[in-house]
Amino acid sequence: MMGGALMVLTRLSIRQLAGGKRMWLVLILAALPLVFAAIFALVDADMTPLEFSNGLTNELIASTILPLVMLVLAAASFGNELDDHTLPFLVQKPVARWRIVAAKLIAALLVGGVPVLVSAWFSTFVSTEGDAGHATVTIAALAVGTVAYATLFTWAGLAIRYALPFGIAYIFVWEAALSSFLGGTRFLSVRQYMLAIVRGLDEERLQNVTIELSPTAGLIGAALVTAVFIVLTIRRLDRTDIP
Amino acid sequence: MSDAPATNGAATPTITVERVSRWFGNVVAVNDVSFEIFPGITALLGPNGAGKTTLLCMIGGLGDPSDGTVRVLGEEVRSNPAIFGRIGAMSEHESVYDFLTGREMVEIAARLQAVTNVAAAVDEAIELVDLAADQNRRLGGYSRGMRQRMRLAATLVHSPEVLLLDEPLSGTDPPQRLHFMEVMRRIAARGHTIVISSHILEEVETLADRIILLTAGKVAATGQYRAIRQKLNERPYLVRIESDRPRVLAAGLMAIDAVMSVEVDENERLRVRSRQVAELQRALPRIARDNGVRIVRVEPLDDSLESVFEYLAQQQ
Repeated sequence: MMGGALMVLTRLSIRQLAGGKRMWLVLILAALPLVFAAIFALVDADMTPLEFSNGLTNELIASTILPLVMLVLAAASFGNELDDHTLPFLVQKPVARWRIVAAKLIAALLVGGVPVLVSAWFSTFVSTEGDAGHATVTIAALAVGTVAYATLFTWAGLAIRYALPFGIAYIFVWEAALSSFLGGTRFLSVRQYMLAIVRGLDEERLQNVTIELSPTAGLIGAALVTAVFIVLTIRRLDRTDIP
Repeated sequence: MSDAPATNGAATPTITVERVSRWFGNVVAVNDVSFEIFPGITALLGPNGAGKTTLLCMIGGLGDPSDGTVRVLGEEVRSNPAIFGRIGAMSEHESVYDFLTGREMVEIAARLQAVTNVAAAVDEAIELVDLAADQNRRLGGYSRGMRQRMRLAATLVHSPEVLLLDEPLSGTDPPQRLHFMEVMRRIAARGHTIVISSHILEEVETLADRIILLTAGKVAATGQYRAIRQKLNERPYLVRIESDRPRVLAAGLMAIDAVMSVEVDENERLRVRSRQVAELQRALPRIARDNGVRIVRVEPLDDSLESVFEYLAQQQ
């Protein structure tokens, strides 16, 4: 039955996240790389397929679309429950807190992560003129980052009153702007972890991008972020006052 | 402050609140409160801001006391999810998952409670709140009263030993209230413990076996409804009387012990202060008849719940 509880909670969370305008935003954002890849395939561009694909992965998917989609969905996982005062319905049940957190994460990954990763695979495949290896390596690395973003923003939705501004500041100030000037911040950037893993798995990719982390460090960093924020979210859910 | 119901002399308390305080910054929401709750129906009564919801949240494991302990069925509730298999809690907020049908919400509650025969339990709970005809409609289209009833069904679906209901009657109409009270009595008759919060005295007077009266975060009174009503009857009572000969009536009223003072206001109406309302009620027609006074209107001036609670708090 406890596996059943996880399933029930996951299905409820998926329905919660997949409904309404939010899903349209996710689908539109997820579709953008495909649109760009299709345009690149149809027009005569003055760059190589790999150059275009690198730009697509680094500057569009990893730096904007993936973190934004995960922010919108993962922060809403608990944020909506708090805003709507429905969280007591979940926590006043004989269900371990980690199952509630797991359900929220799975829902955010399925509703947000899967469309972006599918789009990333096809857009890389199209833009590299049908190279399935490049496409698969890209989404493998992006999947690691997707999980890390999901845990970070799920925690933010529960712990921070203004989770969306927090997330936007993290994505566009910390990861984008600060990491350009302050090398040290790259060690605390999910985007850098993802890019390091992409290059580690596929040496041809991202040659023109400054990546100071080794693939192993990227993998360890992403795993640490994931583990730390899962633990923090479970603790928070267990100890916070629920209005 | 442990006064078990007369029918339950040897009972052990289901809920124990011991020296509990809760503050939010500089605001003290609950101040050194202790009480025990036994099987049957207990009402947490008090005006808005008295601390009822804060207390119910702590009893229901949604918040920690700043000081003191709360135990339900002998166990801590906080960080103890397993105990929710024995507790059903319904918060004051009427929010529901609008995209679910009523039946889906009750089903989810049943599955999370690990109920063995989900379909039968859901049917029974929905029948109990009399919403079988509307169970497949989306909750977003329900009226407030219907939402409350379906939330109650989701709370009851696993037959909890302890029911915590925060303002469960808000949004319900009179027939729904009567039905709700009947359901509560039936559940209480099985030996379950029900705690209902309300800010309306009349709402709980026919329902609750015991009342815990809260004001400003403290227990102002506790006991059976009749005992509290008696305390209320002893408080100074201000009545406005409109008559054709107010000064004659005032002289007559001043002659009886039940009246503490009489004033005549600018509209020639009497403001009578009494500590023995029943005696005043009996004497007034007699005095009017004996003095040839025609009484036009009699109305209480400070019968608001807040003034009642304030009086009881001052007596503590």
